[in-house]
Amino acid sequence: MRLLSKKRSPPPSRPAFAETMHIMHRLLRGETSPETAAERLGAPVERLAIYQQFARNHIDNVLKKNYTVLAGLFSEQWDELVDGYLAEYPPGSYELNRNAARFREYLATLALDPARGITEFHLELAELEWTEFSVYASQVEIPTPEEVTRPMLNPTLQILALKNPVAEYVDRWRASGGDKSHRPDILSPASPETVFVLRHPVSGLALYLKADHSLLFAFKVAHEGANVAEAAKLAGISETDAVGILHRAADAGLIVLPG
Amino acid sequence: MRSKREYRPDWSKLPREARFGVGLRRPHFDGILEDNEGVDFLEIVSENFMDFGGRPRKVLTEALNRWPVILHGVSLSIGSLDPLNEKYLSHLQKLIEFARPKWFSDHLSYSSAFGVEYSDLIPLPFTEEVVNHVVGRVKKVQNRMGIPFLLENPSYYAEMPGAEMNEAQFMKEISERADCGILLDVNNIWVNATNHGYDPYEYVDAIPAERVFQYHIAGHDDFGEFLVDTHGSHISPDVYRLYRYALQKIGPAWTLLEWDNNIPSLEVLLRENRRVRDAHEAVLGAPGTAGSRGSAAELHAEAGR
Repeated sequence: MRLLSKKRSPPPSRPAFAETMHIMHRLLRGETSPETAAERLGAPVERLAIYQQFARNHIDNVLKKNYTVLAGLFSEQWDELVDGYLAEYPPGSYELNRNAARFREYLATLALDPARGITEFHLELAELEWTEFSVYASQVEIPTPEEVTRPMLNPTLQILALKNPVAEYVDRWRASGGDKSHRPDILSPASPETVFVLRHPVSGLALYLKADHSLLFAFKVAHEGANVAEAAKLAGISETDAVGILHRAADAGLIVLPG
Repeated sequence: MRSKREYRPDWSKLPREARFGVGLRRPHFDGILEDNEGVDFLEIVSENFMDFGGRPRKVLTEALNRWPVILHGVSLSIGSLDPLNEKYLSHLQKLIEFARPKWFSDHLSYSSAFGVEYSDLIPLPFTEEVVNHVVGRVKKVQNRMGIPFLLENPSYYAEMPGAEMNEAQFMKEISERADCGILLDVNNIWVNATNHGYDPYEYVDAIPAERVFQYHIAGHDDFGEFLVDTHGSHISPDVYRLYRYALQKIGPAWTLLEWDNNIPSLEVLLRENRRVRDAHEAVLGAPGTAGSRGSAAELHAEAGR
């Protein structure tokens, strides 16, 4: 029974387990080359190289998955960003997605150098995209209509006060299908946005809502526990219109109405 | 202070029967609850549900009302020299308490070291030193969780130096000394045997059959120089042949079809699951029946040996 594979050349002396692990660690971290690791481990270079590629690809893929729009915008310098992030922010979470959590922080350090071309817009875009993941994964339970007695805010809600029209940009991006030839230009920061990011109570999907007058009204009623009639009066709208606004906000997932 | 009594699995209570399952994956969250013909159980990747509320937890809850669900981890890092990750164990324990699986499993490898997560399965040297190290950790983890633990034979592309035993002996030694079960991944045997030049049938022969309580079966891809365990395609005829051989030598156990990359439509997944069932029935008959049993000689002949 032949269960041992043939090695190219035996290493000069057998490395202990701890040393083996250390060599593999340096390889996976990109701190040593497959050729150098192969010399000590006595394993084929191409077989070791694939492990290095796997480790890098996991981070690349998880960043692309969680920062889809940003990755598209940075397409030309993306590989450099992935390598830099992997080097400076070693993955520490056993759940792969969460190893992408500090990408905005990494970009912020690069943004200190204007030559990098990383702007506040990019940082806010990173914040929006990561927030979508965090509300999707949130373990906060959303009450059902039967469990509430008055309009309640969706407890997964996170509010982003953005200086740039990032959500508007993402809308346009998604409408373009991410097609490189039809990607929208970055919008000027003339119109700051308040964005509600939440997990929809029915679909369970993460989404964002640009805060308009209606959503802000619904937010205020639910947040303050305000009387609908009085809130409508203060807002200068009819109670019927106010109820309609609340129902639309509930359909959108911002609030939960008693059922 | 007296220590808590050590947990010893009663292996006789674990099912030794043919059941066929698929992985509960996000693209099928909507469909699997409606369209699931031939699915006897589900397997989840523990890490994909441990820290998630919302939709994953909701779908898991609904799945638990219909099927037995077993937990399969990728980040326990049982072979690492780092201490066992207490946060990980705590979250895993909560998930076990929630899902109440018959067993949980992870790989005979490591996925983190020096405080860094690699999100991949890194091979261990097949040495006595590592056997001793892993045995102790398996005992700790199994004792902590209080349910049977199965170790899976992982795919690996580079053999670590200093091997004192072969891959099958390594698995046998650890499972017996740690008193844990084996999740036998048939595709991994095929991939490793091809990549490292050994006989996959002899590997199956060397595995202690009485410890195998689950099979994994999956597709792989040919990267020219070697095979890669991608879980991204249909199961190859070679792997089906090896599966039939394992069934003959080892006997029935729950079989999980893994498909994690290029995840197909539910229809395609269920069709492949049906093929797995057919392969099983060709060897051992329909679950719960005496069925037909091909001889080992016939299976050897089929394998071209």
